[in-house]
Amino acid sequence: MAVMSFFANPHRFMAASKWPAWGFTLLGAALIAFGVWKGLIAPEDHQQDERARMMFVHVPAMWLSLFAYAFMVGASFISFVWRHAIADVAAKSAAPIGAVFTAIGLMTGSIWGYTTWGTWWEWGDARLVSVLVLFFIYLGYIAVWQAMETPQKAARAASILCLIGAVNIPIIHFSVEWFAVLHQQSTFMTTDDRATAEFKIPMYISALGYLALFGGLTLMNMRAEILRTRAEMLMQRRQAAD
Amino acid sequence: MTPIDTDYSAYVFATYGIALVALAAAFGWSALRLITARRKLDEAERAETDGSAET
Repeated sequence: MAVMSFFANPHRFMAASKWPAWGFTLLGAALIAFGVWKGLIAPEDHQQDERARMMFVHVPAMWLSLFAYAFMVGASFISFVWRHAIADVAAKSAAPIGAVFTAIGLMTGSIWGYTTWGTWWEWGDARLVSVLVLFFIYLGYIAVWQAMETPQKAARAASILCLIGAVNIPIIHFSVEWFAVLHQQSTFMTTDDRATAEFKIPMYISALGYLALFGGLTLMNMRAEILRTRAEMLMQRRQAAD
Repeated sequence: MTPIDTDYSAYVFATYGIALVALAAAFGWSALRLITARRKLDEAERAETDGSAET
């Protein structure tokens, strides 16, 4: 709560976020590059041979698409209940990054699906469809911010949309257990986790890279949003004075 | 069903390429937004200072 109050002041946030924004971005890029390299030199999987290498890109992107949405839900809740100005900015800034991760997950998953199932897309698969719904929720959320007359109305409407859309998150996670799907069940962090270190290490390094990149890019977008708002306020004040 | 080539290298590189392009675009877009916003604020502050000096 104290941290929340501290960062409610945009000046404090701007002072504290300058170096983390670039630092996390650089760290993310470095970790992703290292994870990709480890993934490319990893031995072939005994079941999925070379196709398993696609997982080092696909799985972290999907994890982070869900994480980004969970982050937006938290920020939207804080914005909705406490009308915290920075929480609005955080949710708004995370949305495009989450949408990019979801798009990466959908496209790379489609390629993997083609090589494994022989089809680029399967409408009957609940995991695929629920992730596509997540992508559309991201786009809808971004559109709401653009469509409303005032930022206050946009923040309110976008928060409500985000909180309603949170229903989709458990559906995505449990779709492979609840429905008969082509998509395989979770491999990592389950009681039946049989992935070897050769696969786990590049996967976790890539996931950490995606996480750091998400943090860095979200902070960059938050800073841009605060600077833009401040500039618009100054211009409005100047116009009113003239 | 279309028969799939069992040499999967092209598919693997396509996934890595898609991710690279998308992440680079996300970074470029975010950096550009930040630079543009900074420039816009500098202009607004300059106009504010000039306006104060005139009055």
